[in-house]
Amino acid sequence: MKVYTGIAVSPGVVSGPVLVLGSENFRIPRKYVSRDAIDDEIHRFRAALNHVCDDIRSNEQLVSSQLGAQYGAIFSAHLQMAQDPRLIREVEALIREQTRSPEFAVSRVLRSFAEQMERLGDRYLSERALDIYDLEKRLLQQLLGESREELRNLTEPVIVLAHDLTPSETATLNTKFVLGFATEVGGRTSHTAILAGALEIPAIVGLGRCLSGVSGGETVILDGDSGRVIIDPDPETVERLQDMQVRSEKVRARLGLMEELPAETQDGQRVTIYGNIEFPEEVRHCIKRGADGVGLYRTEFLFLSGNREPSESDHYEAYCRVVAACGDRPVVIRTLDIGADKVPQFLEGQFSETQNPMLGLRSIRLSLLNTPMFKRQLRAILRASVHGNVRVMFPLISTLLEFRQAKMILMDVMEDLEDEGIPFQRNIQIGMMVEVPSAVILAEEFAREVDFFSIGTNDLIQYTLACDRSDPAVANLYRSGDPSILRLIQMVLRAAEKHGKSVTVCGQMSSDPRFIPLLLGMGLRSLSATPQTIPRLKEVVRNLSISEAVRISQHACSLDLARDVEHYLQGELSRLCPDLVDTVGF
Amino acid sequence: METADTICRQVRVTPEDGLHLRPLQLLVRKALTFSSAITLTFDGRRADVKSAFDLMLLAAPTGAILTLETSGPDATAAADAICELFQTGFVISGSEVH
Repeated sequence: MKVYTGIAVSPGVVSGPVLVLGSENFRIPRKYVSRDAIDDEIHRFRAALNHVCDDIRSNEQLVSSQLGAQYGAIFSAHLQMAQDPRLIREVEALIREQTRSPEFAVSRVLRSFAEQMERLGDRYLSERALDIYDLEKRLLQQLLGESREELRNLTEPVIVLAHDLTPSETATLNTKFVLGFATEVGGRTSHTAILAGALEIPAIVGLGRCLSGVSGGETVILDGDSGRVIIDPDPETVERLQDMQVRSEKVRARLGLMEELPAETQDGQRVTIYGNIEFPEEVRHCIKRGADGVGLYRTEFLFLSGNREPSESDHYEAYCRVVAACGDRPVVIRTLDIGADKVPQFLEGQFSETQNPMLGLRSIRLSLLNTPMFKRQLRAILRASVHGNVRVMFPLISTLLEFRQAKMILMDVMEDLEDEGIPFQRNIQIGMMVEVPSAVILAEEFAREVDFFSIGTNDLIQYTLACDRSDPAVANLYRSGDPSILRLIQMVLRAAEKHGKSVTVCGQMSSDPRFIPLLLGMGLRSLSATPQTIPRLKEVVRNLSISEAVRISQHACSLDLARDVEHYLQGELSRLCPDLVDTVGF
Repeated sequence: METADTICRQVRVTPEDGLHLRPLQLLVRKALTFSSAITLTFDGRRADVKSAFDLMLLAAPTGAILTLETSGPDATAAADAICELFQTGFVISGSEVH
């Protein structure tokens, strides 16, 4: 029995046979070629290489002509790698001297470069290793014709274990056969992780290296609650799993009843619970669970799914589907929130080689620099606004000027629509995400200008505690229960109350049942969470009274350390809803 | 092969981030315009200047002194051109990018 621990990103416990996807999800069909075929195989390698070079060149030209030569230069670096004499020499030597297949040779040579680079311990160069994996992927794609053969031809249930899955691969997983998946890389907020939640299959990312120890077909338990993958479980563990499944089935049945019930405290306070969504399809997960609307509609997928910028009608159609499904319930559409961690191909050129992507060009900053693109999205949001209760929200606002600029562009778009006689909701609510400490410090000033706040705890914690949670060395600093975070949330609530504006908390914190009593006690009355967690949150709300919540929040806010806060909240939750805690994690 | 046309010089890495993507790209592009063999040696490792991978794996930090060797028919011109890149700190004039 072997146990690997990663980051749990989508709950649930499943077991089944494992399907291992090679590091880049390409199965190399044969490692050797016949001696007679060597010249042909070398020819095939060169043809693939030429094809990849052509692709890179056309990207380069596109970016250079649209954005300027200095951006195209990034692609010329990729081209240099693809044409590198050492690469060609080593690959051809493996084919010629060891009769290796071009697929195997390409993978072997590029991986050895990447590994050497990773070993140098230089952060900049280890990031270049990603470019090398990308080149490997492109070349294998050319050589093999298509990818993900195994994922397409599933006939029996499996648990997928992969080095990485791209967002598009995750989105197209056949949930009839894929019981759950785990990847070696990735973080909690990666797109793959978010998608897993959307598909509602248990998932774990960031397991670290583990593929080498698994050959495929072994029985695996994947625990999406605690983030553990157990390979070849011993009989005791299997028994424990079965016990737990019986218990969680009971809880699930009870939580199922919650879907119909309102989120109302024992003393009659109604709490608004919205769902967070990424894809239009997910809106049904929200409705099914009795959500009060969509509190955070992330629109990045539109930008990341293709090689081109989405058109106004791409936006409009997606938004209309969500708005129509929600009826008169609010839909809060957040404008593009893309950072250096997930850059669409057509924008790659704008990102410089910065050491600090989270402090760089991302989110609203990117939108304000690309006004035509920003306007297209805003036009679509405004056009969709006549079909329901639409609100627009700007992410990562750090200064008043940014908010005013964004609002001004929205006004421009309104004027254009008016001139063209296209209908829209003129008094659409305009809000902002509170994710940067500067926005909290100036919350009073912002409160005068916005219609609503939505606190994005993921980024707020990262920026307040100056820690990147994907870096294991500092991830322990990243805690929702940190007293500084509680204080910041209080500041926003107070400022909003003073100016009569509403506040929602979205982000991981509001999906975590432990924090619900605390947030309600602080005065929050609206939260937006992962659809799956809504029944759990409702149960907490329904077991709670506001006076009790106030007592819990007052005590939590008197504690000095994140650890103590979280421990205390955990204790209170197990008192309020004992079996909710009991069945989380295996 | 040692010929009369082998040139050997020392150069110093000046860019702030060491021999990273941009300088490395300029080096490769420049080297490819010569027919001579061009190598840089650092810390016992030798890199073909026409190979981006070789140069990356050289991992030369800021301030490192590298040995430049060129050999072939245009060895002197090649050595001059590569030295110039190092001396000017890889400042890119607009025309050099493409």
